[in-house]
Amino acid sequence: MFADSDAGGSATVSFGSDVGDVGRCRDVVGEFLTRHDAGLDAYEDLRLVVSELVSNAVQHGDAPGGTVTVVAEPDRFVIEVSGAESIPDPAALIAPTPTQPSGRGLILVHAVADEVTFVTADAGDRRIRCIRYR
Amino acid sequence: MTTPPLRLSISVNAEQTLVLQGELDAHSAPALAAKLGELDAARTMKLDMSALDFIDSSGLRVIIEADQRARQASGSLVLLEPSRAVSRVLDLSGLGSMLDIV
Repeated sequence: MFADSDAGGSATVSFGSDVGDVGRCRDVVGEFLTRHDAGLDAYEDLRLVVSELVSNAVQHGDAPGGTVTVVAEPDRFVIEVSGAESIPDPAALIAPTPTQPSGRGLILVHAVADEVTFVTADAGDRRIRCIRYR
Repeated sequence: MTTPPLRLSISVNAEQTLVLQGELDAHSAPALAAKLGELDAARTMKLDMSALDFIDSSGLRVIIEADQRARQASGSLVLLEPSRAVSRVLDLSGLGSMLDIV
């Protein structure tokens, strides 16, 4: 598999500035989830989360790439995606109108993740963390 | 370095239905947009989604835009047999009730 690292309860995959990298990120996370006994709903939903967040980071972020980290805990999965500087405060999200073409990505993330928060690891390293309970 | 290959294949069957296979995301959405743009919006455009394993908001965007073009031209866009994964995303986005899905 193309994970950067896969040590027991976590896996990491990096992406560059090509939106074509997003498929590989979905693969790594999906394969990890399967190995850690995620149900089908969690499998599909978290691959969607990764796809949305990585696409956002590549298309709208300032950094030339980033990382996806997925962690399996007894009661939940945690996914962190770097390159979140450009993502607005989730409290300011407004649902797009039905005919509006754009803006649905983060709405979908919020719809399938149990918790969505921001984590600032270092200056300029802002990540979005999504938690999905098993 | 070349871009990774698209994970979406688009073919046209005998009934002029676009048959999608694979994954529709930000990488492959432009290819679908281009193909849909070649069709006559004033007619019925059909998308067979039974073999589409994945869709995200980038794919939804292309479909919504094609649906709007069709409505404006008095045509229609019909989605055929979306898979379980795709149906879930359509429903979550609220488009399940807005689009023509059979």
